[in-house]
Amino acid sequence: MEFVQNVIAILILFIAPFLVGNLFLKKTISGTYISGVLLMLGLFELVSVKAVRGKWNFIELYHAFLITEVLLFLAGTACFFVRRAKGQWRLQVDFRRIKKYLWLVPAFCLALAGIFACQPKLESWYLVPETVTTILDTNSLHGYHPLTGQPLAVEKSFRDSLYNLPAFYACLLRCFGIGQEMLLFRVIPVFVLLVSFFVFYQIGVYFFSTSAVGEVIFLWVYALVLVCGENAYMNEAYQLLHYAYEGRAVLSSVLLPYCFYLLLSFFDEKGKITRKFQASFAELVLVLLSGVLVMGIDYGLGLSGMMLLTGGTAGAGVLLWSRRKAGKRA
Amino acid sequence: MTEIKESMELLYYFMTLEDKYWGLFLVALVVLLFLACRKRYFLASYGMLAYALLLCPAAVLCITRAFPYLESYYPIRWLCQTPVYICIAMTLVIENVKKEQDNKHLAGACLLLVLMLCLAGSPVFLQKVSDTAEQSAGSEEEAYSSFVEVYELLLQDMEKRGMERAFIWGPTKWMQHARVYSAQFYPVYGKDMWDAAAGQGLNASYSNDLKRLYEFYSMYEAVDGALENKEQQVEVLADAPNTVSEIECDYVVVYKGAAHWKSRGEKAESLEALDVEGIFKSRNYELAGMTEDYYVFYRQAGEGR
Repeated sequence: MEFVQNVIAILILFIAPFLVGNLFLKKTISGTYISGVLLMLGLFELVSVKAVRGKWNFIELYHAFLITEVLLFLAGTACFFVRRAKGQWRLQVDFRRIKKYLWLVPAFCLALAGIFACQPKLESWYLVPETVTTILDTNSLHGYHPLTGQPLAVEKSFRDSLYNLPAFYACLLRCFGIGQEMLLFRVIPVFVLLVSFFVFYQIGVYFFSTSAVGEVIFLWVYALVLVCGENAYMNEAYQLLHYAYEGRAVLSSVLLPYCFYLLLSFFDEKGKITRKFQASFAELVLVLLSGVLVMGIDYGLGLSGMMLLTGGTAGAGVLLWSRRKAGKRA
Repeated sequence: MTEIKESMELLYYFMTLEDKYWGLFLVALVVLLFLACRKRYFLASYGMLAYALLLCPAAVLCITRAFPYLESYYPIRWLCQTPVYICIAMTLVIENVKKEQDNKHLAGACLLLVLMLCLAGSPVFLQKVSDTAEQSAGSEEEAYSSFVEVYELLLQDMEKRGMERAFIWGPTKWMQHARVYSAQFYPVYGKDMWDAAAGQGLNASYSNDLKRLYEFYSMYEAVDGALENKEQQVEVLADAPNTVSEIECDYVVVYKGAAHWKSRGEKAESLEALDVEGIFKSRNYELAGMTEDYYVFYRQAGEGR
């Protein structure tokens, strides 16, 4: 019975983002999936901010989480079927494409083997498992110390309370009724790795869309970078192997690369700002919200903001340079 | 001049710290500059700007001076997006070799790139077995299973005594994992004393008690500690909960036997004669149980409690 429950929970967890992502009307599976994940995380952060300000307990937050996610899920599913009826989601059997994508499976399996070859690190840097246990036990979001279980004499600042990833995990645990170890050390790493592969696939397609197998090579190299660079401090992706359940792995392997991709997609072949700027703006906001959810203001919002600032400056420089060059030619 | 030297030393420290992926990042930037098409101008310019602002010696110096802790530097490096750059540069190289339609060169290039990656970092499949000071078992998994035995033993004993929660004190690593295992455990401190104290608004006497307990266990865990022999250290440990007034302590977990200390290189001569059970029992403790590696003592109500 427990096995069946686990399988159902895992299936819902893995399928839900795709259905929710249909609200963004994207044409690719990877893009739809990432948008779904961002929407789920971003909305949860908004709900949890409301919970923190309203001094809700965990059960109240959990009910709000359930209502939000179920509504999103239903809206996304309706959108999916409408799009199918209109013929926007067509399942075309293209053997050449299938053959190409089959080459990606071993790359994903290599990275997956990397995760399972590592012993799960119980020593969480940001006290994620301890905080999840404490939230579930005390029904309080921020009132108890995660390490000692003692009530906090001083209330946490609003700024500190915005880091709500453990509350998100606690909601998932309560919703699906699966074990904490199973969720944090087995399900979440596979999920984060999958989303990370989708993000890198998007980047690969952006750069190597003209090449026959460019994105496949790109993802193979990513899998190798992941498993070959253990303890390489400049290779932030390796954290995904050890600490996928921590916010820093989500931030460094999913959110920041996607932020980077969004910055890239603002500029076209000639260095001009594309129409995607407006379309991606909502996603950019969701990336920032998700950043705050997984790492708080300092790292989540701070790093994503710094990336936008650096990227924006570089992009503006490229734009000015290409326009000046075009002007000289004219 | 001194500042430049200082910053170069700091950069050298980062470069030699753990890996050579920083080198691959710089090579990737060069590759992008040479093989850049319009699409990649942004990429190359962002990479250079991020390097100039975040990773060059002057930037490293500014960042580490501006922020009180060196640790704040580490997440900032994520902004460089090293994996993205390395992946794009390597794919570009392979694509360019592939255009030559020479399978021999292609295979050679792929092999070379894989070798470069392997040599720059250390493959996860060859990871070293963790060897933390507290662990008597070899790998992390083995250590955790030995911890679990103690947690189970504690839970059984608590159930027998009708306790819903218990204040526990024991090896740092073991206590750290305790709340991951069950919310019924209330460790005296967690990852370390400072983490447990952070944000709790502790009063001075509580803070002093916490510090005292932390120091006593650290002294006991240290090999060739400040006190003359292990017996003396165990005695101090057994007395410690009676010397603190603000902190509850129901269970004390200690390492078992001379074999543990010998395996960690302890040279004290009195190891063989060490009678941990006797010392604790003489101080009004009850043996709640033992596993292969640990003794678990219950602190009985009475004098000192």
